[in-house]
Amino acid sequence: MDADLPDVGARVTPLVIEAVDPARMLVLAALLDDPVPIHYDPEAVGTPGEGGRTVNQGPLALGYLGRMLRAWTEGAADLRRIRCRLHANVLAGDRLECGGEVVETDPRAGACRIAVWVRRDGVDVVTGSAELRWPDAAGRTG
Amino acid sequence: MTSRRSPYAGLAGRWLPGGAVDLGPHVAWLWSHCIGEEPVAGEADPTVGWLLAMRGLGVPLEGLFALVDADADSGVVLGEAELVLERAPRVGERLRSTVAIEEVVRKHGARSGTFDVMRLRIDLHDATDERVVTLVNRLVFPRGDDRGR
Repeated sequence: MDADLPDVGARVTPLVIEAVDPARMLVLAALLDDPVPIHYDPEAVGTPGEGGRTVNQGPLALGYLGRMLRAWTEGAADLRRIRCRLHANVLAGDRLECGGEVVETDPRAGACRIAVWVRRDGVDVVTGSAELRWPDAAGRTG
Repeated sequence: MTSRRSPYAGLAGRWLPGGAVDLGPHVAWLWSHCIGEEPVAGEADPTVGWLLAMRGLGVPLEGLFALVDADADSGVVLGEAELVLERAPRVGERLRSTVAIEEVVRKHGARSGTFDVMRLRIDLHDATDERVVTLVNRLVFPRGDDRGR
């Protein structure tokens, strides 16, 4: 993508996480000094349907979405803001589809707002929005 | 969903210690690994700002949970997060964190039961006192028994 702003309605190139990796949860739990056992101990996960699979830390979804946006813009845009609401637990082994759609552009600021989501089996587990700014696009009128 | 005053509402406005937090190269690398990005030495994914802010609380997570009589087994989850980046954090820099509890509200839903939501704000400033990161987390503390309050 060049420095021209995307059009409203443009879809972000999706990012697919084929299987959420429990080993990465362990790394984040250590980085955070996070004592919550559902992120590292399968035996602590007792909710029916979770089947002893550890629960992905919510902010990793924020990271997936940031990664998706960075890849889509090929690093040309700055991530200025990202907001995520988490609707359901994501479990080790889950397949996730991350996506987004441009909902607003501001040519003078060289910025756009994007609705973002993470879906599992077609159902939203995370929804939110992100703001990107293209330094090279600021001041353009179209 | 209904809302009412939380018994912990008085925590609003309380500052946590905060302090200094470093974006060491290993932290940047490991965050990129966690989100499935190919880590590049000396570079940081901007969303590492979330991790940095949480590493800058100045208290262990257990200490934060204890403020609302919760612990690691209480089912605490992140309900919402908003990360604002004035610029991307840079590998090797030290940022100063300020941390405040902005609000605690009690909610009740037919399916979700009773829970408290803590809105926690963390700001990270650089050596020139420019703000680099603002993170606002909404942490959800289930209250299965409503604590009788």
